[in-house]
Amino acid sequence: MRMPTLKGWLEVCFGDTTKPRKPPMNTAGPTVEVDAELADLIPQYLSNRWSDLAFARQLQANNDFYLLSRMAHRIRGSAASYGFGRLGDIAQTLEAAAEQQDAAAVDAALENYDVFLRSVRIDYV
Amino acid sequence: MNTSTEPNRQPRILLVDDDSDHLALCTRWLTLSGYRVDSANGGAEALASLEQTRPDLVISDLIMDDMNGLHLLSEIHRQDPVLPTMIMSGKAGVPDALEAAHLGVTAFLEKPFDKESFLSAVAQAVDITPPPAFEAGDLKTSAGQLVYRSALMQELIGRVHRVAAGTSTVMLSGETGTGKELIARAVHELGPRREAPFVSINCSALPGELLESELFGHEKGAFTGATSRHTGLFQAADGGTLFLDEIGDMPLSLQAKVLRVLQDFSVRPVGGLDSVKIDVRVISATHQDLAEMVEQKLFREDLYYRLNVVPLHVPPLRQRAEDIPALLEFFLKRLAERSDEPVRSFAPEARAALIQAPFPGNIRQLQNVVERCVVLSNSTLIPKSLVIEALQDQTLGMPTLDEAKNSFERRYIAGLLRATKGNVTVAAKIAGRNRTEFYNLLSRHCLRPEAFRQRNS
Repeated sequence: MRMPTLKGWLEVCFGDTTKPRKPPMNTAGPTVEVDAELADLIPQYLSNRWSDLAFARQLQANNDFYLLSRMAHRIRGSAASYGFGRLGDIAQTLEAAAEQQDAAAVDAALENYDVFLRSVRIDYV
Repeated sequence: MNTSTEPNRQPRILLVDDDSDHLALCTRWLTLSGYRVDSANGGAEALASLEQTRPDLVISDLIMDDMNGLHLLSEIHRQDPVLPTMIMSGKAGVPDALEAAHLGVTAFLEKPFDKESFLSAVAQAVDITPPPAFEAGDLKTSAGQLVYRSALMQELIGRVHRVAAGTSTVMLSGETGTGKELIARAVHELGPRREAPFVSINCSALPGELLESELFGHEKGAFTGATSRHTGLFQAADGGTLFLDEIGDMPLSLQAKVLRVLQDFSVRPVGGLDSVKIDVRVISATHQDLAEMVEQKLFREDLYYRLNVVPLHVPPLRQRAEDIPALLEFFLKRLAERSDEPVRSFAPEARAALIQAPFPGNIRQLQNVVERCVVLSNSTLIPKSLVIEALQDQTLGMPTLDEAKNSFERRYIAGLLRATKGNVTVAAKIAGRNRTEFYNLLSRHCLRPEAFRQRNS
Protein backbone atom coordinates (compact mmCIF):
# COMPACT_ATOMS: atom_id res chain seq x y z
CA MET A 1 0.00 0.00 0.00
CA ARG A 2 1.57 3.26 -1.08
CA MET A 3 1.04 6.02 1.47
CA PRO A 4 2.76 9.25 0.43
CA THR A 5 3.74 11.53 3.27
CA LEU A 6 2.26 14.98 3.65
CA LYS A 7 5.32 16.32 1.88
CA GLY A 8 4.66 13.87 -0.94
CA TRP A 9 1.06 14.98 -1.31
CA LEU A 10 2.11 18.64 -1.22
CA GLU A 11 4.55 17.91 -3.98
CA VAL A 12 1.85 16.22 -5.97
CA CYS A 13 -0.44 19.22 -5.60
CA PHE A 14 2.03 22.07 -5.69
CA GLY A 15 5.29 20.63 -6.93
CA ASP A 16 8.47 20.49 -4.86
CA THR A 17 8.04 23.42 -2.44
CA THR A 18 11.60 23.15 -1.15
CA LYS A 19 13.11 24.11 -4.48
CA PRO A 20 12.41 26.92 -6.86
CA ARG A 21 9.65 25.86 -9.23
CA LYS A 22 10.65 24.73 -12.63
CA PRO A 23 9.00 26.54 -15.49
CA PRO A 24 6.16 24.63 -17.08
CA MET A 25 7.47 22.66 -20.03
CA ASN A 26 4.38 21.55 -21.80
CA THR A 27 4.71 24.07 -24.56
CA ALA A 28 7.43 22.24 -26.45
CA GLY A 29 7.20 18.74 -24.97
CA PRO A 30 6.45 15.40 -26.59
CA THR A 31 3.02 14.82 -28.05
CA VAL A 32 1.42 11.46 -27.61
CA GLU A 33 -1.58 10.11 -29.43
CA VAL A 34 -4.17 8.49 -27.20
CA ASP A 35 -7.25 6.66 -28.32
CA ALA A 36 -10.24 8.98 -27.91
CA GLU A 37 -12.23 6.20 -26.28
CA LEU A 38 -9.82 6.39 -23.34
CA ALA A 39 -10.09 10.19 -22.95
CA ASP A 40 -12.04 10.11 -19.70
CA LEU A 41 -9.52 7.72 -18.13
CA ILE A 42 -6.48 9.90 -18.84
CA PRO A 43 -6.86 12.56 -16.10
CA GLN A 44 -6.92 9.84 -13.43
CA TYR A 45 -4.09 8.01 -15.13
CA LEU A 46 -1.84 11.10 -15.14
CA SER A 47 -2.84 12.01 -11.61
CA ASN A 48 -1.74 8.54 -10.50
CA ARG A 49 1.58 9.02 -12.27
CA TRP A 50 2.18 12.27 -10.41
CA SER A 51 1.43 10.46 -7.16
CA ASP A 52 3.86 7.76 -8.19
CA LEU A 53 6.55 10.34 -8.87
CA ALA A 54 6.14 11.88 -5.42
CA PHE A 55 6.25 8.48 -3.79
CA ALA A 56 9.22 7.43 -5.92
CA ARG A 57 11.19 10.42 -4.61
CA GLN A 58 10.49 9.23 -1.10
CA LEU A 59 11.57 5.70 -1.90
CA GLN A 60 14.70 7.12 -3.49
CA ALA A 61 15.44 9.10 -0.34
CA ASN A 62 14.98 5.93 1.73
CA ASN A 63 17.07 3.84 -0.66
CA ASP A 64 14.10 1.49 -0.98
CA PHE A 65 15.14 0.14 -4.35
CA TYR A 66 12.87 -2.89 -4.12
CA LEU A 67 9.63 -0.94 -3.94
CA LEU A 68 10.98 1.51 -6.48
CA SER A 69 11.54 -1.28 -8.99
CA ARG A 70 8.07 -2.71 -8.28
CA MET A 71 6.50 0.69 -8.89
CA ALA A 72 8.46 1.23 -12.11
CA HIS A 73 7.50 -2.26 -13.24
CA ARG A 74 3.82 -1.48 -12.72
CA ILE A 75 4.07 1.80 -14.63
CA ARG A 76 5.89 0.06 -17.47
CA GLY A 77 3.09 -2.52 -17.64
CA SER A 78 0.39 -0.07 -18.61
CA ALA A 79 2.05 3.12 -19.95
CA ALA A 80 2.50 1.99 -23.53
CA SER A 81 -0.94 0.38 -23.57
CA TYR A 82 -2.46 3.77 -22.76
CA GLY A 83 -0.33 5.33 -25.49
CA PHE A 84 2.48 6.68 -23.33
CA GLY A 85 5.28 4.66 -24.90
CA ARG A 86 7.98 7.11 -23.87
CA LEU A 87 6.84 6.96 -20.26
CA GLY A 88 7.02 3.17 -20.48
CA ASP A 89 10.63 3.43 -21.67
CA ILE A 90 11.51 5.73 -18.79
CA ALA A 91 9.84 3.33 -16.34
CA GLN A 92 11.83 0.45 -17.81
CA THR A 93 15.07 2.37 -17.30
CA LEU A 94 14.00 3.26 -13.76
CA GLU A 95 13.16 -0.38 -13.03
CA ALA A 96 16.56 -1.56 -14.24
CA ALA A 97 18.36 1.20 -12.29
CA ALA A 98 16.46 0.33 -9.11
CA GLU A 99 17.20 -3.37 -9.52
CA GLN A 100 20.90 -2.54 -9.81
CA GLN A 101 20.60 -0.14 -6.89
CA ASP A 102 22.24 2.50 -9.06
CA ALA A 103 21.27 5.71 -7.24
CA ALA A 104 22.58 8.02 -9.96
CA ALA A 105 20.72 6.18 -12.71
CA VAL A 106 17.55 6.20 -10.56
CA ASP A 107 17.90 9.95 -10.11
CA ALA A 108 18.37 10.49 -13.84
CA ALA A 109 15.35 8.31 -14.67
CA LEU A 110 13.16 10.15 -12.18
CA GLU A 111 14.28 13.46 -13.65
CA ASN A 112 13.26 12.23 -17.11
CA TYR A 113 9.96 11.03 -15.66
CA ASP A 114 9.37 14.46 -14.13
CA VAL A 115 10.22 16.25 -17.37
CA PHE A 116 7.94 13.96 -19.34
CA LEU A 117 4.95 14.52 -17.08
CA ARG A 118 5.48 18.29 -17.13
CA SER A 119 5.84 18.53 -20.84
CA VAL A 120 3.64 15.87 -22.38
CA ARG A 121 0.85 16.96 -24.69
CA ILE A 122 -1.98 14.66 -25.61
CA ASP A 123 -3.79 14.37 -28.91
CA TYR A 124 -6.92 12.26 -28.73
CA VAL A 125 -7.32 10.41 -31.98
CA MET B 1 -16.40 -10.35 -31.74
CA ASN B 2 -16.42 -13.91 -32.91
CA THR B 3 -17.43 -16.51 -30.45
CA SER B 4 -19.03 -19.90 -30.44
CA THR B 5 -21.23 -18.97 -27.54
CA GLU B 6 -24.96 -18.59 -27.87
CA PRO B 7 -26.16 -15.90 -30.25
CA ASN B 8 -26.84 -12.51 -28.64
CA ARG B 9 -25.10 -13.60 -25.50
CA GLN B 10 -22.28 -11.40 -24.31
CA PRO B 11 -19.37 -13.51 -23.09
CA ARG B 12 -18.54 -12.75 -19.50
CA ILE B 13 -14.96 -12.14 -18.44
CA LEU B 14 -13.46 -11.95 -14.98
CA LEU B 15 -10.51 -9.56 -15.09
CA VAL B 16 -8.08 -9.63 -12.17
CA ASP B 17 -5.33 -7.06 -11.65
CA ASP B 18 -4.23 -5.08 -8.62
CA ASP B 19 -3.03 -2.22 -10.85
CA SER B 20 -6.13 -0.05 -10.99
CA ASP B 21 -4.98 1.79 -14.15
CA HIS B 22 -4.39 -1.41 -16.05
CA LEU B 23 -7.65 -2.85 -14.80
CA ALA B 24 -9.54 0.27 -15.97
CA LEU B 25 -7.86 0.16 -19.38
CA CYS B 26 -8.56 -3.53 -20.08
CA THR B 27 -12.09 -3.19 -18.75
CA ARG B 28 -12.70 -0.33 -21.17
CA TRP B 29 -11.32 -2.27 -24.14
CA LEU B 30 -13.42 -5.31 -23.30
CA THR B 31 -16.69 -3.49 -22.64
CA LEU B 32 -16.34 -1.49 -25.84
CA SER B 33 -15.91 -4.79 -27.67
CA GLY B 34 -19.14 -6.15 -26.28
CA TYR B 35 -17.93 -8.28 -23.39
CA ARG B 36 -19.40 -8.20 -19.94
CA VAL B 37 -16.65 -7.63 -17.43
CA ASP B 38 -16.41 -8.43 -13.75
CA SER B 39 -13.29 -6.83 -12.36
CA ALA B 40 -11.40 -7.83 -9.26
CA ASN B 41 -8.39 -6.05 -7.80
CA GLY B 42 -6.82 -9.18 -6.38
CA GLY B 43 -7.01 -12.93 -6.04
CA ALA B 44 -9.30 -13.00 -3.02
CA GLU B 45 -11.81 -10.72 -4.69
CA ALA B 46 -11.67 -12.88 -7.81
CA LEU B 47 -12.43 -16.07 -5.88
CA ALA B 48 -15.34 -14.33 -4.16
CA SER B 49 -16.67 -13.21 -7.55
CA LEU B 50 -16.52 -16.78 -8.84
CA GLU B 51 -18.82 -17.89 -6.04
CA GLN B 52 -21.48 -15.65 -7.59
CA THR B 53 -21.01 -15.99 -11.32
CA ARG B 54 -19.36 -18.30 -13.76
CA PRO B 55 -17.46 -16.32 -16.41
CA ASP B 56 -16.47 -17.60 -19.85
CA LEU B 57 -12.87 -16.57 -19.29
CA VAL B 58 -10.63 -15.44 -16.43
CA ILE B 59 -7.77 -13.05 -17.18
CA SER B 60 -5.35 -12.46 -14.34
CA ASP B 61 -2.19 -10.51 -13.73
CA LEU B 62 0.74 -12.72 -12.70
CA ILE B 63 2.24 -10.73 -9.86
CA MET B 64 -0.26 -9.35 -7.38
CA ASP B 65 0.18 -8.36 -3.78
CA ASP B 66 -2.39 -10.68 -2.23
CA MET B 67 -2.04 -13.74 -4.44
CA ASN B 68 0.14 -14.93 -7.28
CA GLY B 69 -1.86 -15.17 -10.50
CA LEU B 70 -0.82 -18.78 -11.11
CA HIS B 71 -1.92 -19.72 -7.62
CA LEU B 72 -5.26 -18.07 -8.31
CA LEU B 73 -5.72 -19.98 -11.57
CA SER B 74 -4.76 -23.19 -9.88
CA GLU B 75 -7.47 -22.55 -7.27
CA ILE B 76 -9.95 -21.77 -10.03
CA HIS B 77 -9.09 -24.94 -11.94
CA ARG B 78 -9.55 -27.01 -8.82
CA GLN B 79 -13.20 -25.96 -8.94
CA ASP B 80 -13.61 -25.83 -12.70
CA PRO B 81 -10.83 -27.58 -14.60
CA VAL B 82 -12.05 -26.47 -18.01
CA LEU B 83 -12.64 -22.77 -17.41
CA PRO B 84 -10.36 -20.92 -19.89
CA THR B 85 -7.80 -18.65 -18.31
CA MET B 86 -5.24 -16.10 -19.47
CA ILE B 87 -2.23 -14.63 -17.70
CA MET B 88 -0.84 -11.11 -18.17
CA SER B 89 2.65 -10.32 -17.01
CA GLY B 90 5.40 -7.83 -17.48
CA LYS B 91 7.96 -10.02 -15.84
CA ALA B 92 7.49 -13.68 -16.43
CA GLY B 93 10.29 -16.19 -16.28
CA VAL B 94 10.50 -19.58 -17.94
CA PRO B 95 9.31 -21.38 -14.76
CA ASP B 96 6.19 -19.20 -14.69
CA ALA B 97 5.49 -19.90 -18.34
CA LEU B 98 5.97 -23.63 -17.78
CA GLU B 99 3.67 -23.62 -14.79
CA ALA B 100 1.11 -21.64 -16.76
CA ALA B 101 1.28 -24.18 -19.57
CA HIS B 102 0.90 -26.96 -17.04
CA LEU B 103 -2.20 -25.24 -15.68
CA GLY B 104 -3.66 -25.13 -19.17
CA VAL B 105 -3.55 -21.35 -19.48
CA THR B 106 -4.96 -20.36 -22.87
CA ALA B 107 -2.65 -17.38 -23.43
CA PHE B 108 0.25 -15.70 -21.72
CA LEU B 109 0.25 -12.01 -22.60
CA GLU B 110 3.36 -9.97 -22.02
CA LYS B 111 2.76 -6.46 -20.73
CA PRO B 112 2.61 -3.93 -22.19
CA PHE B 113 0.33 -5.08 -24.97
CA ASP B 114 -1.81 -3.20 -27.43
CA LYS B 115 -5.53 -3.31 -27.76
CA GLU B 116 -5.58 -5.44 -30.91
CA SER B 117 -3.36 -8.22 -29.60
CA PHE B 118 -5.24 -8.25 -26.29
CA LEU B 119 -8.68 -8.46 -27.87
CA SER B 120 -7.48 -11.00 -30.40
CA ALA B 121 -6.21 -13.28 -27.62
CA VAL B 122 -9.44 -12.82 -25.69
CA ALA B 123 -11.60 -13.59 -28.73
CA GLN B 124 -9.57 -16.72 -29.37
CA ALA B 125 -9.91 -17.86 -25.77
CA VAL B 126 -13.64 -17.20 -25.68
CA ASP B 127 -14.06 -18.86 -29.03
CA ILE B 128 -12.62 -22.10 -27.75
CA THR B 129 -14.74 -21.94 -24.65
CA PRO B 130 -16.77 -25.10 -24.64
CA PRO B 131 -20.52 -24.68 -24.81
CA PRO B 132 -20.87 -22.52 -21.79
CA ALA B 133 -23.12 -22.79 -18.89
CA PHE B 134 -26.61 -21.66 -19.46
CA GLU B 135 -27.19 -18.20 -18.21
CA ALA B 136 -30.02 -19.36 -16.14
CA GLY B 137 -32.38 -21.76 -17.20
CA ASP B 138 -34.06 -24.83 -17.96
CA LEU B 139 -32.72 -28.01 -19.38
CA LYS B 140 -35.40 -30.36 -20.58
CA THR B 141 -34.93 -34.09 -20.55
CA SER B 142 -37.41 -36.79 -21.40
CA ALA B 143 -37.82 -37.50 -17.69
CA GLY B 144 -38.24 -33.96 -16.49
CA GLN B 145 -36.83 -30.51 -16.48
CA LEU B 146 -33.83 -29.09 -14.65
CA VAL B 147 -34.67 -25.59 -13.45
CA TYR B 148 -31.88 -23.45 -12.05
CA ARG B 149 -30.51 -19.95 -11.70
CA SER B 150 -27.54 -20.47 -9.38
CA ALA B 151 -23.90 -20.26 -10.38
CA LEU B 152 -23.35 -23.74 -8.91
CA MET B 153 -25.95 -25.29 -11.18
CA GLN B 154 -24.86 -23.23 -14.19
CA GLU B 155 -21.40 -24.65 -13.68
CA LEU B 156 -22.74 -28.19 -13.35
CA ILE B 157 -24.88 -27.90 -16.48
CA GLY B 158 -21.89 -26.49 -18.36
CA ARG B 159 -19.97 -29.60 -17.36
CA VAL B 160 -22.87 -31.83 -18.34
CA HIS B 161 -22.74 -30.36 -21.85
CA ARG B 162 -19.02 -30.91 -22.10
CA VAL B 163 -19.16 -34.43 -20.68
CA ALA B 164 -22.11 -35.43 -22.87
CA ALA B 165 -20.07 -35.14 -26.03
CA GLY B 166 -17.63 -37.84 -24.92
CA THR B 167 -17.90 -41.45 -23.93
CA SER B 168 -16.23 -41.38 -20.52
CA THR B 169 -17.80 -43.11 -17.60
CA VAL B 170 -19.53 -40.61 -15.32
CA MET B 171 -20.04 -40.79 -11.57
CA LEU B 172 -22.76 -38.63 -10.06
CA SER B 173 -22.64 -37.85 -6.38
CA GLY B 174 -25.11 -35.89 -4.33
CA GLU B 175 -27.73 -36.16 -1.67
CA THR B 176 -31.05 -37.90 -2.17
CA GLY B 177 -33.56 -35.76 -4.03
CA THR B 178 -31.05 -33.52 -5.80
CA GLY B 179 -31.91 -34.78 -9.29
CA LYS B 180 -29.07 -37.16 -10.11
CA GLU B 181 -31.17 -39.21 -12.49
CA LEU B 182 -32.20 -36.10 -14.41
CA ILE B 183 -28.55 -35.15 -14.76
CA ALA B 184 -27.77 -38.68 -15.99
CA ARG B 185 -30.52 -38.38 -18.58
CA ALA B 186 -29.20 -34.98 -19.62
CA VAL B 187 -25.72 -36.46 -20.18
CA HIS B 188 -27.29 -39.14 -22.35
CA GLU B 189 -29.70 -36.94 -24.28
CA LEU B 190 -27.20 -34.16 -24.98
CA GLY B 191 -24.66 -36.62 -26.36
CA PRO B 192 -24.30 -38.61 -29.56
CA ARG B 193 -26.07 -41.63 -28.01
CA ARG B 194 -29.34 -39.75 -27.59
CA GLU B 195 -31.15 -41.91 -30.17
CA ALA B 196 -30.08 -45.12 -28.44
CA PRO B 197 -31.66 -46.48 -25.23
CA PHE B 198 -31.19 -44.98 -21.79
CA VAL B 199 -31.61 -47.83 -19.33
CA SER B 200 -31.80 -47.19 -15.64
CA ILE B 201 -31.66 -49.50 -12.63
CA ASN B 202 -31.60 -48.84 -8.91
CA CYS B 203 -29.02 -51.20 -7.45
CA SER B 204 -30.47 -50.93 -3.94
CA ALA B 205 -33.92 -52.05 -5.04
CA LEU B 206 -33.05 -55.66 -5.88
CA PRO B 207 -31.33 -58.49 -3.99
CA GLY B 208 -27.91 -59.45 -5.32
CA GLU B 209 -28.91 -62.52 -7.39
CA LEU B 210 -31.80 -60.76 -9.03
CA LEU B 211 -29.69 -57.69 -9.73
CA GLU B 212 -27.10 -59.89 -11.43
CA SER B 213 -29.74 -61.50 -13.58
CA GLU B 214 -31.21 -58.10 -14.43
CA LEU B 215 -27.84 -56.68 -15.42
CA PHE B 216 -26.37 -59.63 -17.30
CA GLY B 217 -29.45 -61.56 -18.33
CA HIS B 218 -29.79 -65.33 -18.07
CA GLU B 219 -30.29 -68.36 -20.23
CA LYS B 220 -33.33 -70.55 -19.96
CA GLY B 221 -32.83 -73.00 -17.09
CA ALA B 222 -29.86 -71.11 -15.68
CA PHE B 223 -31.43 -71.38 -12.23
CA THR B 224 -34.67 -72.46 -10.62
CA GLY B 225 -37.43 -70.34 -12.05
CA ALA B 226 -35.50 -69.27 -15.15
CA THR B 227 -38.18 -70.57 -17.46
CA SER B 228 -37.16 -68.43 -20.39
CA ARG B 229 -34.16 -66.59 -21.74
CA HIS B 230 -33.81 -63.04 -20.40
CA THR B 231 -31.79 -60.26 -21.97
CA GLY B 232 -29.83 -58.25 -19.41
CA LEU B 233 -29.78 -54.47 -19.09
CA PHE B 234 -26.20 -54.18 -20.33
CA GLN B 235 -27.35 -55.66 -23.62
CA ALA B 236 -30.59 -53.69 -23.59
CA ALA B 237 -28.54 -50.50 -23.34
CA ASP B 238 -26.24 -51.48 -26.22
CA GLY B 239 -25.30 -48.35 -28.17
CA GLY B 240 -26.74 -46.17 -25.42
CA THR B 241 -26.33 -45.52 -21.73
CA LEU B 242 -26.77 -47.66 -18.63
CA PHE B 243 -27.51 -45.71 -15.46
CA LEU B 244 -26.59 -47.57 -12.28
CA ASP B 245 -28.30 -45.68 -9.47
CA GLU B 246 -27.23 -46.24 -5.87
CA ILE B 247 -24.15 -48.12 -7.02
CA GLY B 248 -22.86 -48.09 -3.43
CA ASP B 249 -25.48 -50.71 -2.55
CA MET B 250 -24.25 -53.21 -5.13
CA PRO B 251 -22.94 -56.42 -3.48
CA LEU B 252 -19.18 -56.90 -3.68
CA SER B 253 -19.50 -60.17 -5.57
CA LEU B 254 -21.44 -58.40 -8.31
CA GLN B 255 -19.04 -55.46 -8.35
CA ALA B 256 -16.32 -57.79 -9.63
CA LYS B 257 -18.53 -58.86 -12.53
CA VAL B 258 -19.44 -55.29 -13.43
CA LEU B 259 -15.77 -54.40 -13.37
CA ARG B 260 -15.08 -57.17 -15.88
CA VAL B 261 -17.75 -55.80 -18.19
CA LEU B 262 -16.24 -52.33 -18.04
CA GLN B 263 -12.83 -53.78 -18.84
CA ASP B 264 -13.87 -56.11 -21.67
CA PHE B 265 -17.07 -54.48 -22.88
CA SER B 266 -18.65 -57.87 -23.14
CA VAL B 267 -21.23 -59.65 -21.02
CA ARG B 268 -21.98 -63.29 -20.42
CA PRO B 269 -25.56 -64.02 -19.34
CA VAL B 270 -26.00 -66.17 -16.24
CA GLY B 271 -25.87 -69.80 -17.34
CA GLY B 272 -24.56 -68.85 -20.75
CA LEU B 273 -21.33 -69.96 -22.37
CA ASP B 274 -20.70 -67.16 -24.81
CA SER B 275 -19.89 -63.53 -24.17
CA VAL B 276 -21.65 -60.82 -26.11
CA LYS B 277 -19.85 -57.63 -27.13
CA ILE B 278 -21.58 -54.46 -25.99
CA ASP B 279 -21.07 -50.73 -26.49
CA VAL B 280 -22.47 -49.01 -23.42
CA ARG B 281 -21.72 -45.78 -21.66
CA VAL B 282 -22.06 -46.29 -17.92
CA ILE B 283 -23.24 -43.51 -15.63
CA SER B 284 -23.43 -44.36 -11.95
CA ALA B 285 -24.77 -42.43 -9.01
CA THR B 286 -24.66 -42.61 -5.27
CA HIS B 287 -25.58 -40.56 -2.23
CA GLN B 288 -22.89 -42.39 -0.24
CA ASP B 289 -19.23 -41.54 0.20
CA LEU B 290 -17.77 -44.18 -2.12
CA ALA B 291 -14.18 -43.19 -1.37
CA GLU B 292 -14.87 -43.87 2.28
CA MET B 293 -16.52 -47.18 1.36
CA VAL B 294 -13.39 -48.11 -0.57
CA GLU B 295 -11.34 -47.34 2.54
CA GLN B 296 -13.60 -49.62 4.53
CA LYS B 297 -13.36 -52.35 1.89
CA LEU B 298 -17.08 -52.10 1.25
CA PHE B 299 -16.59 -51.07 -2.36
CA ARG B 300 -13.98 -52.33 -4.82
CA GLU B 301 -11.24 -49.80 -5.36
CA ASP B 302 -10.64 -50.86 -8.97
CA LEU B 303 -14.31 -50.49 -9.82
CA TYR B 304 -14.43 -47.13 -8.06
CA TYR B 305 -11.67 -45.76 -10.27
CA ARG B 306 -13.23 -47.31 -13.36
CA LEU B 307 -16.57 -45.62 -12.63
CA ASN B 308 -15.24 -42.33 -11.31
CA VAL B 309 -13.56 -41.16 -14.54
CA VAL B 310 -15.63 -37.97 -14.70
CA PRO B 311 -17.10 -37.08 -11.33
CA LEU B 312 -20.06 -34.69 -11.25
CA HIS B 313 -21.42 -33.44 -7.97
CA VAL B 314 -25.04 -32.37 -7.79
CA PRO B 315 -25.25 -29.72 -5.06
CA PRO B 316 -27.94 -29.89 -2.36
CA LEU B 317 -30.73 -27.33 -2.48
CA ARG B 318 -29.49 -25.55 0.65
CA GLN B 319 -26.36 -24.51 -1.29
CA ARG B 320 -28.42 -23.00 -4.09
CA ALA B 321 -31.36 -21.29 -2.45
CA GLU B 322 -31.40 -18.82 -5.36
CA ASP B 323 -32.89 -21.65 -7.45
CA ILE B 324 -35.93 -21.93 -5.18
CA PRO B 325 -38.04 -19.07 -6.65
CA ALA B 326 -37.67 -20.47 -10.17
CA LEU B 327 -38.42 -23.98 -8.93
CA LEU B 328 -41.54 -22.72 -7.14
CA GLU B 329 -42.82 -21.10 -10.35
CA PHE B 330 -42.06 -24.26 -12.28
CA PHE B 331 -43.84 -26.59 -9.86
CA LEU B 332 -46.85 -24.28 -9.51
CA LYS B 333 -47.23 -24.04 -13.28
CA ARG B 334 -46.87 -27.77 -13.79
CA LEU B 335 -49.41 -28.58 -11.09
CA ALA B 336 -51.86 -26.12 -12.65
CA GLU B 337 -51.42 -27.72 -16.06
CA ARG B 338 -51.99 -31.19 -14.67
CA SER B 339 -55.13 -30.23 -12.79
CA ASP B 340 -56.35 -27.79 -15.43
CA GLU B 341 -56.75 -25.11 -12.81
CA PRO B 342 -55.44 -21.54 -12.62
CA VAL B 343 -51.81 -21.15 -11.62
CA ARG B 344 -51.51 -20.51 -7.88
CA SER B 345 -48.87 -18.29 -6.37
CA PHE B 346 -47.24 -17.92 -2.98
CA ALA B 347 -47.78 -14.83 -0.82
CA PRO B 348 -44.49 -12.91 -0.48
CA GLU B 349 -43.98 -13.99 3.15
CA ALA B 350 -44.81 -17.61 2.20
CA ARG B 351 -42.24 -17.45 -0.56
CA ALA B 352 -39.66 -16.01 1.85
CA ALA B 353 -40.32 -18.88 4.29
CA LEU B 354 -39.76 -21.41 1.51
CA ILE B 355 -36.53 -19.77 0.40
CA GLN B 356 -35.20 -19.87 3.95
CA ALA B 357 -36.23 -23.46 4.69
CA PRO B 358 -33.41 -26.04 4.87
CA PHE B 359 -34.99 -28.79 2.70
CA PRO B 360 -32.89 -31.79 3.76
CA GLY B 361 -34.88 -33.82 1.23
CA ASN B 362 -33.83 -31.36 -1.47
CA ILE B 363 -35.92 -30.76 -4.59
CA ARG B 364 -38.07 -33.79 -4.03
CA GLN B 365 -39.09 -32.38 -0.65
CA LEU B 366 -39.68 -28.90 -2.09
CA GLN B 367 -41.89 -30.43 -4.75
CA ASN B 368 -43.91 -32.27 -2.09
CA VAL B 369 -44.35 -29.10 -0.05
CA VAL B 370 -45.54 -27.13 -3.08
CA GLU B 371 -47.97 -29.87 -4.10
CA ARG B 372 -49.37 -30.12 -0.61
CA CYS B 373 -49.83 -26.34 -0.40
CA VAL B 374 -51.60 -26.28 -3.76
CA VAL B 375 -53.95 -29.10 -2.78
CA LEU B 376 -54.82 -27.60 0.59
CA SER B 377 -55.05 -23.95 -0.41
CA ASN B 378 -58.51 -22.43 -0.76
CA SER B 379 -57.35 -19.40 -2.69
CA THR B 380 -55.03 -18.71 -5.60
CA LEU B 381 -52.63 -16.97 -3.21
CA ILE B 382 -51.02 -19.53 -0.89
CA PRO B 383 -50.54 -18.06 2.61
CA LYS B 384 -47.49 -18.39 4.82
CA SER B 385 -49.44 -20.38 7.44
CA LEU B 386 -50.02 -23.18 4.97
CA VAL B 387 -46.37 -23.24 3.98
CA ILE B 388 -45.27 -23.39 7.61
CA GLU B 389 -47.67 -26.24 8.24
CA ALA B 390 -46.41 -28.16 5.22
CA LEU B 391 -42.78 -27.53 6.16
CA GLN B 392 -43.36 -28.69 9.73
CA ASP B 393 -45.03 -31.85 8.59
CA GLN B 394 -42.17 -32.49 6.22
CA THR B 395 -39.76 -31.97 9.06
CA LEU B 396 -41.78 -34.31 11.25
CA GLY B 397 -41.32 -36.93 8.61
CA MET B 398 -37.57 -36.70 9.02
CA PRO B 399 -35.90 -39.27 11.27
CA THR B 400 -34.44 -38.25 14.61
CA LEU B 401 -30.68 -38.32 14.97
CA ASP B 402 -30.92 -41.61 16.85
CA GLU B 403 -33.12 -43.11 14.16
CA ALA B 404 -30.72 -41.92 11.46
CA LYS B 405 -27.71 -43.30 13.36
CA ASN B 406 -29.52 -46.58 13.89
CA SER B 407 -30.39 -46.84 10.23
CA PHE B 408 -26.81 -46.14 9.19
CA GLU B 409 -25.47 -48.67 11.68
CA ARG B 410 -27.76 -51.37 10.32
CA ARG B 411 -26.80 -50.68 6.70
CA TYR B 412 -23.13 -50.51 7.65
CA ILE B 413 -23.13 -53.85 9.46
CA ALA B 414 -25.14 -55.51 6.71
CA GLY B 415 -22.60 -54.15 4.22
CA LEU B 416 -19.75 -55.56 6.32
CA LEU B 417 -21.39 -58.97 6.46
CA ARG B 418 -21.93 -58.91 2.70
CA ALA B 419 -18.31 -57.92 2.15
CA THR B 420 -16.98 -60.63 4.45
CA LYS B 421 -19.50 -63.28 3.37
CA GLY B 422 -20.80 -63.50 6.92
CA ASN B 423 -17.40 -63.92 8.60
CA VAL B 424 -18.03 -62.36 12.01
CA THR B 425 -14.38 -62.34 13.09
CA VAL B 426 -13.27 -60.37 10.04
CA ALA B 427 -16.32 -58.10 10.08
CA ALA B 428 -15.79 -57.26 13.77
CA LYS B 429 -12.14 -56.50 13.09
CA ILE B 430 -13.03 -54.11 10.23
CA ALA B 431 -15.62 -52.43 12.44
CA GLY B 432 -13.10 -52.02 15.24
CA ARG B 433 -15.18 -54.02 17.73
CA ASN B 434 -14.49 -57.24 19.60
CA ARG B 435 -16.61 -60.30 18.83
CA THR B 436 -18.90 -59.84 21.85
CA GLU B 437 -19.64 -56.24 21.00
CA PHE B 438 -20.20 -57.16 17.39
CA TYR B 439 -22.62 -59.94 18.30
CA ASN B 440 -24.52 -57.42 20.43
CA LEU B 441 -24.78 -55.16 17.39
CA LEU B 442 -25.99 -58.05 15.25
CA SER B 443 -28.60 -58.90 17.85
CA ARG B 444 -29.78 -55.29 18.11
CA HIS B 445 -30.35 -55.14 14.36
CA CYS B 446 -31.65 -58.70 14.03
CA LEU B 447 -28.94 -59.56 11.52
CA ARG B 448 -27.92 -63.20 11.08
CA PRO B 449 -24.41 -63.85 9.69
CA GLU B 450 -25.59 -67.22 8.34
CA ALA B 451 -27.89 -65.46 5.91
CA PHE B 452 -24.91 -63.71 4.36
CA ARG B 453 -22.94 -66.92 4.13
CA GLN B 454 -25.82 -68.58 2.28
CA ARG B 455 -26.27 -65.63 -0.05
CA ASN B 456 -22.70 -65.86 -1.20
CA SER B 457 -22.38 -69.59 -1.42
